Amino acid sequence: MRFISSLIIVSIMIALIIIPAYIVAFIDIAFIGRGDALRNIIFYIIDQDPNIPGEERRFMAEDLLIFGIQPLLIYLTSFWSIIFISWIIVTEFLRIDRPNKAFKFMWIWFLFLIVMLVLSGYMTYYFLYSQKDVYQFVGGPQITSIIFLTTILSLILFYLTTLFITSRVNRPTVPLATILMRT
Amino acid sequence: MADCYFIGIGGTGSKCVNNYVYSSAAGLGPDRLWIGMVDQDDANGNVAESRSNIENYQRVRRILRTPGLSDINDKTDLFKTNITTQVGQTSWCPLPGTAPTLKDVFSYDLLNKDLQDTIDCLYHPQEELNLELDEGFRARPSIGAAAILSRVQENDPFWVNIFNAIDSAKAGTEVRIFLVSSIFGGTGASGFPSIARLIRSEMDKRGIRDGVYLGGALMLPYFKFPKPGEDEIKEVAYAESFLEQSRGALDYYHRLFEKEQRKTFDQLYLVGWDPLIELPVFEKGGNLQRNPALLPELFTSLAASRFFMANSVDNGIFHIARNDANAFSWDDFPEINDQQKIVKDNLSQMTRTALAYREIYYPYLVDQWRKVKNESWFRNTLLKQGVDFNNDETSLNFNNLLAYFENYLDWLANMIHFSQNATVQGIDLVDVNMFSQYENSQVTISDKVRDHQLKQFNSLISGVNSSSLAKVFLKMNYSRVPKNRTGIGAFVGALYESCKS
Repeated sequence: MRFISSLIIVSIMIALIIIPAYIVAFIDIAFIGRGDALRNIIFYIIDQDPNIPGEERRFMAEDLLIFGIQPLLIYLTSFWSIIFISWIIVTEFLRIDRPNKAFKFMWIWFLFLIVMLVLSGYMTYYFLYSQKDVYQFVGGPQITSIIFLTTILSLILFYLTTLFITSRVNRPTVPLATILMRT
Repeated sequence: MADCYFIGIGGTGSKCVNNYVYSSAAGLGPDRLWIGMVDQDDANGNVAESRSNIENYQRVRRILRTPGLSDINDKTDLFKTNITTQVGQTSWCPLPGTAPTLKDVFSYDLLNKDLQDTIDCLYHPQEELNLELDEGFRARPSIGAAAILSRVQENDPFWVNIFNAIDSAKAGTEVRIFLVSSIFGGTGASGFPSIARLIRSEMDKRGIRDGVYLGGALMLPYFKFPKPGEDEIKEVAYAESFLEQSRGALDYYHRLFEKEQRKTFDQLYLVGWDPLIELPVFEKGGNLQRNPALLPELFTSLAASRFFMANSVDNGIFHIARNDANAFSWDDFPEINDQQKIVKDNLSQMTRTALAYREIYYPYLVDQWRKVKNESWFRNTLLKQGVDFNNDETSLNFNNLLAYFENYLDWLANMIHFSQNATVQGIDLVDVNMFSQYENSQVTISDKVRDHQLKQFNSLISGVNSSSLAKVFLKMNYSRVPKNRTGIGAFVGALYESCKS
């Protein structure tokens, strides 16, 4: 039961980031930016080089959606799911059998966090910037901001999710969790 | 539930009292129980140990079962039995004082010549009449019987409890009295039938025919010890005479029961062990006589529980045998009133609780509690239950609990280690080697159980693959404290339930 509820929490937390990101990227919403998903990408994400003609910018935005954003969202969803399931499994195998033992494994949490942040940032960089299909379509300042945003979101996602899915026994492995969670 | 009285007579009787207190701690006793001991050797180490055990039990029970302050709740078996004693007189000594003799009992010097001659015929003038009895009746039931019967008085506070209980039967209260002693030796062998018949005669005097039930467990020879030195052999019990004495005593009981119109005992249990368990040391009496607990004594506890907890008392003389003469396992214990696995379940759970408390949780309940104050188990079972860790009394209570659990483990380890030698394949109940050592005929509890041994916690109880310490800790963290659990009782209750096999 504990595992099932953990998996449900993981799904909800990932969905809270991925679904809005998908909606913003693919669906036209009047009150977001220019009110059109493609125009938003052209205006806010694609490199603002004045030498690139408008038609070309449109093709770049369409390619970015298909070859960059879409696989990025799929890969991030898969990667984050794997990270959280691994976290659940690894903490179960710690076999904490006494008080004051779990916090000694806080380094594992930090290790997971680093892997999560680095790989999420790198995936964003690769899919949106460095892969050949969309190579440097996105501007330098823009990709920096997007990677920063992805990293911050990954950090928040990882902290909140591990806060809720870590068993009470292993809770001391998550920084401040024993203070924040009162059950 | 009937009013229950348990009286241990003599050295073996006091050991059985000790045994029954531990069994009651494990939840095998009745709801209410009055305990008393009868021993001429009042300074006897076993009597002192039982007395101390009763006091410790009562102290821990107050910690765990004081409604409003700390309560483990009435659905939990641990320390279920409310044990009471005669305040300040847990044991009754027929002939108190320094070195009393049978001559003093009979006021021999004040008797006329004819009576003196009669007494001389009954007791050896040198060896028996002048024998100092401060360390018991030295395997002479004839002396003990005379001394006990002459000293039981209605206004003695110790006996007032029993006689008042008999009186209460008139008002419809059911009273069950259980006597335990050895059939060999002095005090027990003499006191057992004397006290039983005395109770029956008091019932007759009061015109009580129903409502008072008398049960008893007689220990047949079950241990032997090295022969005492030549200088002591005349005045002490020695193992070689046990069988001879037992035969005589059994013959006496046979004749007694055959001619009596109304049975003295409603239930009588005879417990023995073959071959005899060999004890490595011998002390003739006094505070040095502290014989280790032995497995056969546990059967008297189970007999008592069966007698106390049955809905109705059926008449009979009961015996039981092992499944295999060369081995002993949980299957060799009898069921108690149709509860087939109650002995195994309760003793296992108590043992696992005691060990987990001692090795895992205790340090974090006293000195190191600040380190874990935010952990779930600590918050839910202690802080939210109103346990104040800044109060010195709290750590005192945890220390008392530790002391009791350590004594319990020590008792269990002694019982199993010392009983091993009479069973070819050993006693297969609890892996006591995990927390104790048997060296130079002494059992010692390990100061600290090593981690690799604690990893075997799930196999502590033989024949059961119970939960590991990690699983116990997991259960502790997710345990729900019932509303009627408070204080330290909430924590101990959670631990007890988490340690269920």
